[in-house]
Amino acid sequence: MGRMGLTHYSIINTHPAVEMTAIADTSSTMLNMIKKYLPNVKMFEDYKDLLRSGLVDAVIICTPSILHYEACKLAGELGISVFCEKPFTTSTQQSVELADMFEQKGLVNQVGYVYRFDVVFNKVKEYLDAGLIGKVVHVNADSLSATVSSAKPAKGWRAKRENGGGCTYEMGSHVFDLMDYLLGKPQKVYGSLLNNVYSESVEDICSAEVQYAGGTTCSFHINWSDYTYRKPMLKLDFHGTKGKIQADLYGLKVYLREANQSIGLPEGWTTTPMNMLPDPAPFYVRGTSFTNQLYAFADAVLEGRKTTGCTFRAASETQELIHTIFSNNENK
Amino acid sequence: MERIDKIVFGDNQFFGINHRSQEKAEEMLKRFGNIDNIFEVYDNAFDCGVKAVMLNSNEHAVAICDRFRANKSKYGDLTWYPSIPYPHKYANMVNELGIFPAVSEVLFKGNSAGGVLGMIGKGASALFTKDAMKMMEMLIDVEYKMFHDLDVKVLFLQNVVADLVLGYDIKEVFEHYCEYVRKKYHILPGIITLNMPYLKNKLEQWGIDEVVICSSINAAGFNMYPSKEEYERVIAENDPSKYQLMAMNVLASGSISPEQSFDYINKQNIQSVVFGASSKGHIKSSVDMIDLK
Repeated sequence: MGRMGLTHYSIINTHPAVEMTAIADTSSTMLNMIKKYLPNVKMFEDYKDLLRSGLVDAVIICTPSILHYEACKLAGELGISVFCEKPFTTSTQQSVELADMFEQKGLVNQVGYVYRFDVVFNKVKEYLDAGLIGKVVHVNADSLSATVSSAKPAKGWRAKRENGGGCTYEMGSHVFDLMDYLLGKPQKVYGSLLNNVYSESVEDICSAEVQYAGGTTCSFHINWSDYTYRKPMLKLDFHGTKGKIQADLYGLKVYLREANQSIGLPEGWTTTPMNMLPDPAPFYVRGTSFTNQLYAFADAVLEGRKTTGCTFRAASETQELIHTIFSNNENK
Repeated sequence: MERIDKIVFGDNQFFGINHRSQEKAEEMLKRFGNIDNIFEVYDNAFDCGVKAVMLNSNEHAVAICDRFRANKSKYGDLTWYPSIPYPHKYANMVNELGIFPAVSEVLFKGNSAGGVLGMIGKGASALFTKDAMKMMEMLIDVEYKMFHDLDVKVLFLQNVVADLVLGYDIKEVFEHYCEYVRKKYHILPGIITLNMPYLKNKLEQWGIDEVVICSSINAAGFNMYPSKEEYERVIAENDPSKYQLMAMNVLASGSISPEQSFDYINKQNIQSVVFGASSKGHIKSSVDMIDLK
């Protein structure tokens, strides 16, 4: 179940065509609560028993990242479609293997890179795909938060990189996937730096210079020890030959050197706050994107088609980028 | 059900909540870091005829409530609409400690109130299993404590918690919450939600009524899930003797003009509006424009 599982259950349980049949968790308190208040849901202490129970067509996996690979693999072997939380796995080879397996078996597969469902970044995608700012020459991608803002030693699986800990996995993976969604698979890592502010065994800051198709370059700056951010912030600035787009979670600003008639944007700056963009969702718990990504998964399973969210294949591209960034830094 | 105030003054502006800009939010946080500036805004609001206040149980609310109590002669006729809990407090603790230890921390640290002391030995986890409803009562008491001796009419369950629990479809949680608030505090139970049609439908199914429901209602359809049309249908059909509806986010975070916003609100079958503003001019024009049926 985990912490994300608490939210996911609430969301997906509102889908009119989805029936929640089983939950697995290692906490006896959690299991007893489920038994008492969700009597129609079967509970398991071991997720393997849940997968083998025959009770599920699809599963949402929110275990610590280190367990994602084996859990996804078993689900795939049993013909169960999977929504897996991010970061996808802890090695590129594992993520490619899972992508191959789910594609061969024709099972729906999705990873919880939720910004693909964000209303602002989808507007950015629409503009980029329409060529609004011409050729995209360079991007600055910042992901900042105050997640680790004191020297208190981190506990649990997040304290070790091999388990999926550190700012690159935790936050970088989101912004890498978002760039994968907007510009496609990264082509080359020119350089990367990992730095520490408070943590002992994982990085608090990651910066990387990455190239995309057509020669577009991107400077990533990821910092989870930026105590000036009360809420996590994600900012993307696109510099194109015909204009610029600056986008963050609050909205976007577009600068055009010449007006664009077909899209209907004037020369100069146009600001669009997030609340001016239509952002429907069938039910709201933590944000429209969380609901829309899970409904996209459920609808794909129900309708027997590919998901509109991040597939295992796309997530494996982000996985490869993460490991290239790690090895580039280590080989200095 | 006792009628609620038509106009309630909210608190988002004080706590750096702005759906449109983080910079603006931070500017507000700085200004209202000084409690004198908060009370200047309150005094302006009361001058404009506001008689009711909504306040979330966040870390600043304790000092605000203390000051209201200390100046009873000046503020004695105010009606209170608090909301609990302050979700970020729990979110941070849950991140660090895990869910059940976080709840024990809230309950047992610095709370020697009756009932609670006797339970320390048993451990929160065991209690959760045995009687989750009792745990909920204790959490309500802990959060409600800061509002003691204020004239509270409705206690709202904050939307981050309410909507999360709503998805689970567990009748007992809402039933018990409403019953407990009525019996222990002799006030009306309230629920804040971003899924008003869904919540109201569930409450009806469960046979829970005489509840105040606060939700985003605005001409722009902002923060109205699943849709503005669905809200309008449910609002038009609502029986206010069973559910009183309070509108929040009426200005849709500035995406529509105040005239348009209040014109829309005044035509709806709703009982109350909660709004926030920090300048006297904005407060006055809002109060003047609110004209509910």
